[in-house]
Amino acid sequence: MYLLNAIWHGLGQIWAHKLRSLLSLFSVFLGVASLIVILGFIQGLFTGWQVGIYESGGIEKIAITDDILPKKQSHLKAMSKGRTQEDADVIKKFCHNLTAVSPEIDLDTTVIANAKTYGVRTQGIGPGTFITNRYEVVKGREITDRDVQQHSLVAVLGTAAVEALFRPNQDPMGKMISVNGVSFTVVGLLKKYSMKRGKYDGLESKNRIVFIPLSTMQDRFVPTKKLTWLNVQVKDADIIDQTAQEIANVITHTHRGMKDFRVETRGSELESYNSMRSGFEITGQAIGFVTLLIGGVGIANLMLASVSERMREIGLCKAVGATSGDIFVQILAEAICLSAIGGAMGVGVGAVMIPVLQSVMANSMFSPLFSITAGMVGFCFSLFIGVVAGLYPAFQASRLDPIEALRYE
Amino acid sequence: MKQVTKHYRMGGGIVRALNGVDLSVPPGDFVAVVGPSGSGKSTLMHLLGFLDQPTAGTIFFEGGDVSKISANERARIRSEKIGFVFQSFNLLPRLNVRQNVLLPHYYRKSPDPGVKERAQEALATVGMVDREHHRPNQLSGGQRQRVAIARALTNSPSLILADEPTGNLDSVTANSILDLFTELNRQGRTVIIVTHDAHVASRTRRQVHVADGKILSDDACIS
Repeated sequence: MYLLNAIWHGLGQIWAHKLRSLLSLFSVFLGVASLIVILGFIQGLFTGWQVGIYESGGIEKIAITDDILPKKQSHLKAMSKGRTQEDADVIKKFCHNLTAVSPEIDLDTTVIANAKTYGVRTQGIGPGTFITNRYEVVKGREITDRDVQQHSLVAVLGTAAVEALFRPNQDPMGKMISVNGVSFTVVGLLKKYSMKRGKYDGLESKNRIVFIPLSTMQDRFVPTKKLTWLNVQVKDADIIDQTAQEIANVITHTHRGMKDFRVETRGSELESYNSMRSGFEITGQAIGFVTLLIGGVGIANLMLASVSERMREIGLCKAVGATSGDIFVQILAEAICLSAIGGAMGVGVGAVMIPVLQSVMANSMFSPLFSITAGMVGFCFSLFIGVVAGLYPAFQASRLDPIEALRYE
Repeated sequence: MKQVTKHYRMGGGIVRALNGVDLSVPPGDFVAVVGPSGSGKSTLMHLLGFLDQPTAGTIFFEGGDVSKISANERARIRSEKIGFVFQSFNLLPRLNVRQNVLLPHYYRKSPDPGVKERAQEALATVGMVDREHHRPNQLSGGQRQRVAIARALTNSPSLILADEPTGNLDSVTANSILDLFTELNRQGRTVIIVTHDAHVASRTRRQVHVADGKILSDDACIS
C-alpha cells in the first residue's frame, strides 16, 4: 500500500515537471531503444544465418568443390577432369561415416506446362540430395536410385515452380511438363520453405527448383560427366574433420594426385560466425549500456536538484510522521518511475522501429528482428539504472533533519 | 519535561538553547509558549513535537519516558499523536486540499480505516469542505492555515502544536484562526501555541514565558 502511494507520488512529481523529467529520461529512452534495435539487428542477422546454414545442409554438410591446381602441378591442368560421378561413387564406397552423397548438375531451363512458361534452375540429382541439401517431399516420392539407373523422365517440383505452372486448384501429380523440350512426369512435390523478414523471404530461392534424375540430365541436356556440386552429409558433427580428411584421401587417389579440388567443411564458417556474433553483441551492448549510464547520470542529477528544491516538503513529510525509510523509498520510487518510463518508451519505440526498418530494408537479409529478450533486458536495465541513480539522492533526502529542512527557504 | 537541556553545536561554539527546563502539560490544556526570538521557544517546540531529542533531561509522554527513543519511534509518535501547524502553512502545492489533509495518513504504519471520514470531519471543522478540490495556490492565507489545521487533525492527535500559526495572517483572519484553536481545545484537544505575540498568548488559558533558555513564568491567565 505504502509502496503504491510512493509510486503514485513519484508519478505525480514527474508529471509536475513534465519537460524537465522528459529531458532527463530522454537518454534512458535512447539507450533502451538503441539497445533493442542493435540487438534486433544482431538477432536478425544471425537468425537468418543460422536458418540459412541449416536449410542449406547444416554443419554436417561437407562440400567438395573445384580448386585451382597448385603451382607445382599447374602443368597437369589439361589432365584435370574436375569432380565427376566417379568421385561420388568412390566416396560412397570408401567413406563410411556418411549418411548421404549428393552429386548434382545444374542447368538453367525453360519449363512449360498448361501453356505456361517458367524459367527455372533444373538440377540433375540422386536420392542423396534430399538429405544433404535438406529437401522434403510432401506429396508423391523422391528421385530414387532406380530413377537414376533407368534414366527415368520424372520430375520433383518446388512450390514456386508449381505456382508458376499450375492453377491453384490443379493437382500437378502425374501431369506432364516440358523441360527444355523434353517431357517429364511430375512424381513428387517439395515442401514450401519460408523465412519471412518483412517482404523479403530468405528461403524463397529454395522453392524455385525442378529436380530430375542425374543420369537423365546427363543424357538429355549436359553431355558431360563434370558435376556442378558434390556434397555429402556426415553422420556426426564431431567427426567432420576426420571425415573430410578421408574424403580428401579418396579423391586424391581418383584424381591421380592432382589437387584440383577442395574439401570444404563448415567448421570455419561456424567459427567466424561465433566470433563475429560475440563481437557484434559486445559492441551493441556497450553502446546501449553507455547510453543508459549517461541516462542514469541525468536522472541522478535531476533527483538531487529535486531533493534540494523540495527540502521544506521533505521536512514537512517528516514532521507529519514520515520516517527516513519512507522518504528514502519515496525518492527512490520517483527515480525508478522516471527511468522505467524512459525504459518503457524505449521498448515501445524499439518495437515500432524494427518493423519500420524491416520494411525499409525489405530486400535485405540483414533486416532486424524484435526479440522479447532484448526488450526485457533493456527494460530491466533501465529499472536497474533508476535504482542506482536514485540511491544517493534518496539517501541524501532521508538524512535531512526535519527542523533544518522546515527552516530552509 | 524534567530538567530538559538542549545544546547545539553551531560553528565552533555551543549554543545553549534550553537550560534545565521543567514543564508539564496535562491533557486538555491550552498553552501559549511566549518569548522573543532566540529565547529557546522554537527548540522547546521541536522537543515537544518529537522533532528532536534533548541533550540531557527526561521527557515523558502519555506516562512513558520518551527522551531516548529512536528516530523511527519519534516518527511514529509524530504520525499518530502530534498535529503540527506552521507559520508558513507548508501545504504541498502539487496536492489539492483533500490530498494535503490526507498526507499524514500516507506515512502511518498501522491501518487506519476511519481516516477518510475523519479527514472529511476535519475539513468540516475548519469549514473548508467546499474547497476540497482546490489547490493551495487558489486559497487565501487564512484558508491555507485552515487546511493545515485540518491536516493536523487527520490522525486525531493527542497534541496539536502550532508554531506562530497567525504570523503570516492579518488580524481579522488571525482571530478567526485563534477561535478555531479555542474551539478545538473546547472539544478536549491539547493545544500548544508557540508565539511572540502577546495578543495571541492572551487568548490561551495558560502562558509560559521563555527567555534565554529558561522558563521565566508559567501562569494560567484569565482570558
